[in-house]
Amino acid sequence: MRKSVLITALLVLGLVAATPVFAEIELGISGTLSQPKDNDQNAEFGPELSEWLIPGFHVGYSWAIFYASWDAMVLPPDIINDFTGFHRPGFLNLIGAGIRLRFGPVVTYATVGTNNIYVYRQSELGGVDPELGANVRAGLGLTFGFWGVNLSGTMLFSSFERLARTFQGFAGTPAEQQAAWDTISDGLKPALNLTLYF
Amino acid sequence: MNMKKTKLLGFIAILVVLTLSGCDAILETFYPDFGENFGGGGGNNIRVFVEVIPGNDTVDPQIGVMVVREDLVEDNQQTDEIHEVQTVWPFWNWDEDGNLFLTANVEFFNIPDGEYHVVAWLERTTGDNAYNGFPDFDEPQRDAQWYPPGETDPTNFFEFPNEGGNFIEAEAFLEVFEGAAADHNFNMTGELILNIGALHTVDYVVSPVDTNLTIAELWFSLWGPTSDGSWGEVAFGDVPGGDTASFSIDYSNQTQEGYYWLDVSVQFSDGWSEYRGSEIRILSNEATASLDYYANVVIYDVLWWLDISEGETVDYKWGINSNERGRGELTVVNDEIVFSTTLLDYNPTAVTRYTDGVDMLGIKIDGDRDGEWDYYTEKPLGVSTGDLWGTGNDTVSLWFWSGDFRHSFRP
Repeated sequence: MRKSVLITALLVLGLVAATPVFAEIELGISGTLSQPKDNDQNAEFGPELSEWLIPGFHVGYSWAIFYASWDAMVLPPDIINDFTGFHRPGFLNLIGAGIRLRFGPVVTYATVGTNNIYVYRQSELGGVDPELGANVRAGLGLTFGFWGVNLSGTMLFSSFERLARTFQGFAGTPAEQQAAWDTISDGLKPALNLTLYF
Repeated sequence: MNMKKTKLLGFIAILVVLTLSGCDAILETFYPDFGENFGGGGGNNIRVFVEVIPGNDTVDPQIGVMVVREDLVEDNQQTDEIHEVQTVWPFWNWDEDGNLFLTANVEFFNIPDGEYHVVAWLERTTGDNAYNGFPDFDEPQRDAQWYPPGETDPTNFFEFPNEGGNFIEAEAFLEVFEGAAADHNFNMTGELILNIGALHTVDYVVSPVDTNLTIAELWFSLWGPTSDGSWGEVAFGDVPGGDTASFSIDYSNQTQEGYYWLDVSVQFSDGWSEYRGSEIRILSNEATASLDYYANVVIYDVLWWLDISEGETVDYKWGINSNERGRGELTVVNDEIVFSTTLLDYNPTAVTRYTDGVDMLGIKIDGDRDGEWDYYTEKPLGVSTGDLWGTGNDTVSLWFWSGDFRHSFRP
């Protein structure tokens, strides 16, 4: 354990030393693919576009390789209903911290963070628990001067404990590895992000 | 303006918009209906909290809530009009003992001023009645209740405007029965055809088909031509229940011949409410001798209730006084099922099940043609000489609203 912590610390220090130290603010928008639950599986028409493609807003800050981000996804009433029991639209806020690396025009990042939910006109509702577990996010993209595009994948977990247990599975038996991989692949939410850098 | 200034201004502009607009305003941009309903509409709103303890055999159900308007009486004979229906996937919860219960908060916006009742039910997503957006015989239902301001007892009567303002917060608790679905049909005895020359008080007795059920309460309304010739409610009341429930209607006050309509709504001991509408006919010239005639049957609105689409073929059978007289198949055209009976013989002096000289025409429908009869209804055939014309074998037209069909427990 000590050894792995030491290696990680040295790796981070090395990356910090090798990366130009400058701060950067990001603002962006995103579209996340979702697989909504059809309200009537016999219906002629499926869910609407807003249920398949979830729009979102992005704010990020990086310093050297360190990175913090806030992504707010606009969720349709059906999904908010699944989370909270209230059939209203809302925001799913993904607040994360991690690292971001740039190799020329290529940018990549990975974060871990908490989830927070906001239901439309939440102040008039009782019984909404805004805490909604944890998330892991990773992305890869290209920058073109002051703007860029990237693809990201987000995994939501009901708790940090669940998140840790899933990733510990990769170090376990083949069955545990498979279970961890299934969890990741089944729950991965891909998104396309357009980002402005300041 | 250089690029640096452009980016800075853009950054500040986005931050200002985000700060000033607030989260709700952004959501209203994506979902304008919510903005209009909450912010600009100022209409009447109802939120119903529904809690369900599901049964072991209930697979991934939805929760449905229906707002039914009670105070509209238009040209149709129905006293209630479905204003809005919503079905949602419920939120899954577990109690301290690990038992599953489902909850949903279903909201309705911009409801017009009026009188309503609100029905919550568990919408099955498997089986014959999956996703049909209506409380069926095998789906538990209950009237939602709320507490008017200052009241300690809840009521299932919803009204706008009311003293509490334009928002009603209601609740409904359901528990799914296990095992076979209860038969919520009821039998009703009492005359449905009367002669205007001999009008009298008719006693109606209602009894549950399922003897495990009792009647909690019964409401009735008789609709028909009023003294000024318009259509309206001419008698009404409610009675307490028991193993049976009975009520009486004094027809001697009626001066108009013609068609009447009797609404009977029964609330059973398990909370289920069952409605049945029956055609009542007051004849001034009932056929007094045996007559031969054909009945031309038109069943309308078959998509809404029977879930039978245009162009579909269905099986049907019909009978008189529970004796089968014919069957066949036909195709739905113009949202209607239409067929003619074979030659019928009307005998006004015969005593049948309702102690009146009345033939009961019963109809069963197999909508999915799986060999089991899905729905049935029956209607009294009181033949007036005015129904017939000419001297040959004449035709009487009979209209059946699909909403008066019930699930057949004898497939």
